[in-house]
Amino acid sequence: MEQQAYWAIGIFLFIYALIISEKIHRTIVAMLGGILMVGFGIVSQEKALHHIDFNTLGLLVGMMIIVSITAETGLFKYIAIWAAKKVKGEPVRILIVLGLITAFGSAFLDNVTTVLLMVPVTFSITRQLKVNPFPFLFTEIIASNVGGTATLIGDPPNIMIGSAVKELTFMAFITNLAPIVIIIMLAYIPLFVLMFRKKIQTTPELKASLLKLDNSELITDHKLLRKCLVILGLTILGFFLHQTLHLESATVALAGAFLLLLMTGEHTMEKALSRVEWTTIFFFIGLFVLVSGLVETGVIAELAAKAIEWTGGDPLATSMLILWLSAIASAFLDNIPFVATMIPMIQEMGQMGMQNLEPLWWSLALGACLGGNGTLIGASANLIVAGLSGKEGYPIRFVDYLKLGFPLMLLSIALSSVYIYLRYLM
Amino acid sequence: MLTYQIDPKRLDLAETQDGTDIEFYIKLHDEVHVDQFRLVQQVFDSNADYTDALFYAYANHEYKVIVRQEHYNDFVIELFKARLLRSLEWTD
Repeated sequence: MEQQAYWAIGIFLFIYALIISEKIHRTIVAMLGGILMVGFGIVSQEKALHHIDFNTLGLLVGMMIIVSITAETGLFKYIAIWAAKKVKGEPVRILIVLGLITAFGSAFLDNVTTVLLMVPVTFSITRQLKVNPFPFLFTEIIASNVGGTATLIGDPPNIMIGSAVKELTFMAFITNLAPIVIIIMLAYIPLFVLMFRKKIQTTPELKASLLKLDNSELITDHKLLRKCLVILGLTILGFFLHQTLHLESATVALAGAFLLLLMTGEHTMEKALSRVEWTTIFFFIGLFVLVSGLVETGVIAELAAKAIEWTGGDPLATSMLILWLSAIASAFLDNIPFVATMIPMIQEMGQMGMQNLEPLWWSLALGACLGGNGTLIGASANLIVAGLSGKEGYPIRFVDYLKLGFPLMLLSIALSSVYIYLRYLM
Repeated sequence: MLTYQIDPKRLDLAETQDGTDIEFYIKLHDEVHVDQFRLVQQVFDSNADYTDALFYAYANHEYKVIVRQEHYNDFVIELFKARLLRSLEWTD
């Protein structure tokens, strides 16, 4: 490796150590890391800008706008409170239903959008029951990443894989990934109960108070709700059709957002734009540039090439390596640049004579999406929830999350390994 | 300290301290004041702070609002702006 590659590794490790230490806000650290990569000449400014995934940023901003406006109608609060009442206000059951709603929502909206909807109502329910919100928020983070794995539009790695491999249609993602996603969620539910049931006890009076809530009061603006439902429906339809229409997902999300703003007016626009989580957006920008240093100096390519060399082209070994490497890497790095590196590598393997690439693609999708559950910085949904929770006075510590999230992530990858083997390689 | 007088024709109001939060129990007497109260809720629901004031609606226009200590004044002032309070006064 050249001298610049060692500089890139040094800056990268230093910045990640700072992010993990949480001494300075992660957005400032990531942006400074990106600036160091450019400042030291490891990547030029032009190449750094090229590495910023504006499709991801546009998708996030667009959906944040749609969500912030729709949230004002009370729709998501209505669904969550309705579900909480259906399970008689029992905190453990609420934890499960909110987790399931999050998983389902993440499959059809992106997982960041879904947690943005779930977090406010989670605070409302947990405060009502006087229970710690952390178990609920943690469950929602995990569920969002698991649910997002099920569809092409659920998580950015899937969007990238689906865009790169035209044969992997929307339905192909569902038929191949949804079964293992359901298995993982079924395995997680008893674990969530075991981990948190003693920490979320409440009183019969508080449960009764929750049951007495008047759902009809929760929808605050029926006219706005109708507009939001139309736009949400069109946006989701747009995600279904975006490959057919030759549109990036960001275009669909931003079109939905600004159509909704057109229907709701200037006043709504200012409020909606102010509610975009700009600290998260800038954290992503910093991370993209930071990782670009490793990409441009060939560090990631060299690591991945050597890893594939070790397997000797065996389908089982290669699938397992991609699955586990993607999972571990995605737990600590942003999975988007990683997936961007892995896609051409898998395509190259096809050109080198590997016949059945399908298990490799699903291994990459499962590893990259589920791996995000491993650490607090593993996925955008984790960061969003941690950011919102910290702002509301309930900080989620990196280490606290790691102790619970990493073993759960390992379990999901172990289950995925068995699934990949039984379904594609046996 | 901010003190207030309610308008008994418009609402019944009681507040209790709960740890660092203040819980308000409010019963509104007619639909007009429900609409005004919703405007108060909208102020807190539409800002970027999710837990400054949490609103819970019950049957017959009864509400519980859990307000964080640091937002007590903001909440009371919003009630006054919505004409749900008769007066508002700074006292030592």
